[in-house]
Amino acid sequence: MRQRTDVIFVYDGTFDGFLCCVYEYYYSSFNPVEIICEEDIRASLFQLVTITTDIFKSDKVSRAIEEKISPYSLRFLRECLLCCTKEKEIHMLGYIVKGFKKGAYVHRLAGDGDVSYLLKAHNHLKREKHLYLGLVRFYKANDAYISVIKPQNRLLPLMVHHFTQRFANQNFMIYDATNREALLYYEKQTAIVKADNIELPEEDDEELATQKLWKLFYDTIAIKERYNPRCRMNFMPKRTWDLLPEMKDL
Amino acid sequence: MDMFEKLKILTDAAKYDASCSSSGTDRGSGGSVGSAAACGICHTWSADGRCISLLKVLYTNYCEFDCAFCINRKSNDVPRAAFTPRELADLTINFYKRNYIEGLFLSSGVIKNADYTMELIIEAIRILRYEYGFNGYIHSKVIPGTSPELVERIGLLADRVSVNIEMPSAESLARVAPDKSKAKILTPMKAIQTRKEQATQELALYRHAPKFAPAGQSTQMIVGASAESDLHILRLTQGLYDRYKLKRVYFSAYIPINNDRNLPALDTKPPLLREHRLYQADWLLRFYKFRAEELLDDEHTMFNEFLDPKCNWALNNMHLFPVEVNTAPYELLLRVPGIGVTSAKRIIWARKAAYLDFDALKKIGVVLKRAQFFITCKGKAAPYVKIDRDHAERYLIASEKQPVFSDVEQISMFDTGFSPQNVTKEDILKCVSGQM
Repeated sequence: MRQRTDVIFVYDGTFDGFLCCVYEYYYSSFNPVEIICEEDIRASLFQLVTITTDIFKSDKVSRAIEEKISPYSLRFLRECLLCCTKEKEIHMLGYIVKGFKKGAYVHRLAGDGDVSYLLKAHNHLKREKHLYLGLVRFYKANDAYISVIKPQNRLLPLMVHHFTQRFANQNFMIYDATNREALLYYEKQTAIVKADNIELPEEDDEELATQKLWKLFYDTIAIKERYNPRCRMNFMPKRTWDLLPEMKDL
Repeated sequence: MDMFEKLKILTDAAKYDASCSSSGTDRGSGGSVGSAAACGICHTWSADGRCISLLKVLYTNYCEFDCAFCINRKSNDVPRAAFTPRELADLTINFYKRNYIEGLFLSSGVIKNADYTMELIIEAIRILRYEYGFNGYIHSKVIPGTSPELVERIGLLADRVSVNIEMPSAESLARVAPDKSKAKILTPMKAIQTRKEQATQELALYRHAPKFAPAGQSTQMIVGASAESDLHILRLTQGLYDRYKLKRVYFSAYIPINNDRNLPALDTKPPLLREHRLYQADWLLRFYKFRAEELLDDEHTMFNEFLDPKCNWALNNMHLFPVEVNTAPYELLLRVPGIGVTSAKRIIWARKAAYLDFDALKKIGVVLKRAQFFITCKGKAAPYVKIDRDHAERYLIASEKQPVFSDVEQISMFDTGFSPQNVTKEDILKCVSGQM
């Protein structure tokens, strides 16, 4: 019987770490009220139980999810961990628990609290990813292209494929200032690295000239008779504006 | 003339083109620069709320033609400019490498003649594709009257090609664009369609057969510059989809630029509401399996100002409703106002696992504002909803976003100079629909 519900699981923020929490849920008497990443630890009345990541345990859980639920669900859960909401882990646990009972159909239980929560969070993630495929703006410095973004979710793992395909022959870096990590692409090698402090090179004159050309294009293409700022803001929220050259005063 | 001036002139001249879509093809990267995503990607939105995904410019705005509606007509005194093929290719690649754009949308005025202009456009695109290895999206206009050899070449280079039909009927076209004719427009359109079908067949036989205009062709027409009814325009649109297999037909609300006796006066407001209704109907044709005859008939040749075409159709066909969400086929779900392709698919997808009630519908993201008058869940209508034409109609009209009365004041007992405004709701609606 699961007697102990007054605990919080703490894990290291990786997907393997989360799967170990699932393992712990099944093999101990704990039924956590919350699962949090070790970076988010705060004072709480509940007891904190730190779950150490063990590849053997996580492997076992991931294989179980693949077989008893579906490979798609495993992929889905992996992506859910990139969402920006704080309570995603406990809903993911709920999803997995129900999944082990119902199989692949769990994903369609859209009326269920856990499932619909995750579907919504996942949708938010996918939507933002699509938006940022367009809103990433590079500037050129010393033969490399550099971009800074401030998304809400962790988007970099999802953007790797698109950008390495598109800019296969140029070195680039996308720095995610919200989550403090960078996607590096150098000489056809890709890496996502944590980076708390980075120093970015300045834009040179040639770069500024290109940005001015772009801003000129942007300002000219709008039809005055159809001015509709509300519509623009719906598509492109203001929080994204400060990193776009076309929205700056050049 | 420096690049800034050129870009300003040629962008300003291109801005009235409606299309900016970059969807329809998937191009992987060939190891060099560029790719294209089938879903299309918008890169920014301009102040008028339209998305910008392509670098939309004219190759030149010098023009031999004298089309009455066009800002670049021969008889207009406007600053003129032209790119060189190299300049244009450099500009595109510079923007593309910074992820400003998804590709290029190239249109042009006519220098010397249609073929000469097309050759210049082809040269610019050739530099992009073959010298710079650019693998991104390219949309090119085909100028009416272009010879078939050049249509063939542009189709092999570009993702999408388009010939503008400009006016909804041959008579209006002859009146406002004396240099263009129905035949000059439809001939290349037909040629593109036939060649594309041939390429599709070849591709099925030989894996490396070249693709011809893989993202298909589109066209554009001006709405509100001539007297044609919505029914006429919609029938024409349907014909274009059926006979020429177009991907898109764009409508552009007429914005008066030139004073011409064949056109509405200069102070006419662009008929934005009408354009909006036509686009709604266009979506119904393309994604909802509607036919033009279902939406409008000879008695009702214009769309309802207060209701969108789908609601209007549903209210006139109340005998088909209510629809049971848990059992109705996809085609019928699509016909419910407020349920679109996404919602219909989600319903089908979710109802395989469990019976759906109104709460579940809300959770999977179906918006019930309009749909509630036309559906039942497990045989029951939504709480406090009567499924009845009058009831639904009143509610739907009230819930449409109506124009805001900006000059209306709160009445005050101490306000001596109060005079009621004589603007009625109808007047404001007429303004929006362009009748005033």
